[in-house]
Formats: sequence, C-alpha cells, structure tokens
Amino acid sequence: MTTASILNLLAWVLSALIAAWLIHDVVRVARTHDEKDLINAAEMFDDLDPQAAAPVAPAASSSSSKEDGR
Amino acid sequence: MTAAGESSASTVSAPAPGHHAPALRKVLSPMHIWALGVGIVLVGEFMGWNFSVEKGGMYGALVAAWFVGLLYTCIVMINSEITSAIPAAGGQYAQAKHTVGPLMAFNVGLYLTLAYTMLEAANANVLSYLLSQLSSLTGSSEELSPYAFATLAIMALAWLNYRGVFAALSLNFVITGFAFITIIVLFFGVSGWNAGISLHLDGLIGSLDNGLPYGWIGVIAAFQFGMWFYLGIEGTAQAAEECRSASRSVPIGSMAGIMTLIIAAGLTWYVCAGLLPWHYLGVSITPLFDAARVSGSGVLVVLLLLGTLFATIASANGCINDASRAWFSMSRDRYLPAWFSAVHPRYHTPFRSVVFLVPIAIAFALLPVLLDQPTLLATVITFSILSGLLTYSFMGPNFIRFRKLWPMGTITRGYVLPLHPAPAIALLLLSGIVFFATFLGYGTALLSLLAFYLLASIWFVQRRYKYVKRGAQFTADLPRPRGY
Repeated sequence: MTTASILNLLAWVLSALIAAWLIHDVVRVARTHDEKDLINAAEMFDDLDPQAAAPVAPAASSSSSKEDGR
Repeated sequence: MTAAGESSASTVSAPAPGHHAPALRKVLSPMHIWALGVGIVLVGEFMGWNFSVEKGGMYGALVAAWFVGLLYTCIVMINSEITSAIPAAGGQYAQAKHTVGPLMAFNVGLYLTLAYTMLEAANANVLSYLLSQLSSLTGSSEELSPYAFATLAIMALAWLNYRGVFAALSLNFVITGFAFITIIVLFFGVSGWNAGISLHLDGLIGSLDNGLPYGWIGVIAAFQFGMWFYLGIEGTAQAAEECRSASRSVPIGSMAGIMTLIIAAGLTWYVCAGLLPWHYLGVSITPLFDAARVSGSGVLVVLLLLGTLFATIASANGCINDASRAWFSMSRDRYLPAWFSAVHPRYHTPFRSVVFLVPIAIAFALLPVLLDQPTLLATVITFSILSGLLTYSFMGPNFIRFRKLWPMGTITRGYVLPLHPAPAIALLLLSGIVFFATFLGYGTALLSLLAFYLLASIWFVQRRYKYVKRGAQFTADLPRPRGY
C-alpha cells in the first residue's frame, strides 16, 4: 500500500468516524430529551403538545395584530 | 420533524409555565467577530481576486478593490447599526423580518444559507487541491484523493461547529491571524517598502494601456472578482445572538474586520503586481503562493502555502457557522420545519442545522470532481457570489426603512451610521454596478439564479407561509415602530 493510499484511507476512516459520532449524538439527544426542551422557537408549544398548551395569551394577541397591521 | 413544524399557525399559545427555551450560548467577544468575518473572506486574498486582473488589468483590479471595498464598508456600517439594535442569529434575515416582512426574510435567509454553503463547498474543494499540491511539492509522485480530503475537511469542521461556537471561532482567530500575518511577512520579505529591489512596478507607469488593457469597461468587468477581497464580511451579523455584548462586539469586530481586509487587499495587489506578470496573475490559482515562489525564499514559500491552507480552512469553518445560523433562524420562525431550530442541550449550538447542511456541502464540493467538470467549481462559486449580491442589494433600502421605523433617539444603538442616507444609497448604486458586471460575465447564471429564487418564493407563499406564525415574528426588543 502506498503512502498516498494510506492517507486517503485514513481520511475516509476519520470522515466515517465523525459522521457516525454526529449521527449517534443527534439520535441520542432526540431520545433523551423532550422535543420541547430542544426547540428554540418563540411559540412552539401548541404544536408540540396541544394538551399542555395554554389559551391564547393577551401579549401574543397584541403582537399578532401588530404584525397583521403591516 | 413533522410534529414540531408542520402544524398550521392558526392558533397561538403561550409557553408552558416555568419552561425555559434552550438558547444559543453568549460567549463571543469582538475578537471572535473579527475572526468570523475576516476568516470567511481572507481566502479571497489568497485566490480568486486575481481573476479581476484578467478582466481589467492591474489598475482595473486596483480600482475594483477600492470601489468594492467602499461597497463592503457601507455593508459593514449598516450591519453594525442594525445588528446592534436587533442582535439575532440570522443577521440580515432577522433584519429583513423586522423591517420588510416574511417573503423578503425568507429570500434573504435562503440567499445566506446557499451563499455560505456553496462557499464552504468551494473551500473544501480547493483545500483538497492544495493538499495535492503539497504532496507533489514534497516530491511525492502519488496523488491524494480529492474526494477523501474534501469530505474530511467538511466533516471535521462540522464536528467542531457542532461542539461549540467558542472553540470554532477561537480556532478561526488563530488560523486567520496566522494567514493575515503571512501576507505582511511576504510584504516585508520582498522589501515591499523599496519597490526597486525585488518588485517591478515600472510597467504600470506611463501609458494607461499598461494597467488598463481593456479600458474602463474592463474595470467594470473586474468588479465581480473584486468582491473576492471582501465577500463574506457581512457574516459577522450571524453571530450577534451569541455575543456577550452584541452592541459592542459586532461593530468593533466588523469594523476591525473591514479595515484588516482593506489593508490585506492593498498589500496583496501591490506585492502580486510587483512580482507576477499580469497575464499570468489573471489566471493563477494561488497568486500569493506563486508570488512567494517567485521571491525565491524557501521560508516565504512554506509560510504562504500554510497561509493559503489556513485561510481556506478558516473560510470553510466560518461558512458552516453562518449557514447553520441562517437555517436555524428561519426554522425557529417556522419558515422551515421547527425541527431544525433545536439547540443542543450541552453544546448550545443549532446542531441539527449544522448536521443537515453537511451532506449538501459535500455534494457540491465533490460534484465538480465526480463529473470531471472543473468549471462546475466556478459555477458553485458564482452561485455563492450572486446569492451574496442579492443580499446586499436589499440592504440599502432596508436600512432606509429601518431608520424610518425607528428614527434616531427612539431606540438605543450601539453604533450610529454616519452621513445617512449616503451610505445606503451608495450601497444600492454599487450593488447595481456589480450586478451589471456579473451580468457581463455570468448572465445565464444570474438569470438562472433569479429564476430559482422566484420558484422558491412561490413555494414559500403556496406551501410554507401558512405555518409561519405572524404574531411571533417580531422578536426584537424594540418599541412598536411609528405608523404600526
């Protein structure tokens, strides 16, 4: 095996290891955490967990009218 | 994925009591902002800018560097004021969301994501080329595979960005700083202050034909490649949400960044003009490295090779950071499925956005090699430049609207743009000139790209807009604008 082919193989192996680690961690986080503890959105709870969602908040309503007024 | 993001936006509800949404970590300082902005761009000094010499000659390239430098100075100043008031990930996307509306914001977010992803792919491709050159310089007759090393570069940098923004941008600071220093070392190494010793600028003196072989239309044509000196500095705005103090860090880091780039552009042009014949310089792949080789100094050759390598890595690293933030920001506003807006509970990074963009970048990096079409790389780069240009063309009008919505004295600004509205108008005019220049060289690509974004806009309005929560769009900590 030549030096270049060893380096090429090493690059592929490292890439595969990193890819495996990334996928493993994404799956692990999804399994060990509730989705609503991960999502960074201003108002996402009605979609994620309709049971736990509170009624329409006054602040949200005024914000909505502000946007609609654009 | 669908559960989080595909429900209609007809109902708006409050967060569950006691719930704290995960957030990006605020750890960055002006140093990191400088590293992000300059890191993405500096590779353009090591390669790419010199194609402006082919279009417009040596003076054409210099005039392009100055005028396009003015364009980017306007961008940086405008960015600094708006970002200090709206310090949100997504940068120009968040600005468009607050000042114009969802459709413009969607387009800007898409421009940003694609511009940085394409640039990252081009960097990975170039990195594999540089490694092949390095192996041949060491006397090896065997060729390294471009597939393996382009893939490894993207994977390793994605991993770094996945693990945390502080480490990723600290690394960028070190390698970008090193690359910038190599340009200064080259200037001193060839006794740049004394042009008679090793630099040969005599040919530029006298008749204008020596420096402007194609006249002023050549200068205009050179503008599109003059962008390489600065393309990507606007990416500093993407990190605003992760700054300890955005109103301080973004203006300081961005201003320092554009000053660094103008100095680097001037030194690069001067040294290359003095060492390389313009016919060669106009088609060279690595002009600064070639200038070092012409100097005959072994130390300079090694330094400039390392500088080119580091600048390429820094650019790809910064691009991963910025593309993922733009994608993440669009997702948390429901322009895309909310699944992508997840923040890692340990590393506090937009980890799903980082991972999602990896295969796309790899595909664009390997496509020119797989299809054995080296010109595809130029197409990928052109796609990136045009997407950036579309972003710039909106920034001038957007800033004028920003000042109308929040006039001076109504909100706290970390930085105030002087001479308003002159910079915004100048930006609009200069963007128009660069668009024209790009049309001269890449008319078909420009029209194809506009068609692509038009189709994407239609998709957004028809299929995605119903999921966007209009009431949750106004996320900045600003008072209600005048007239609302």
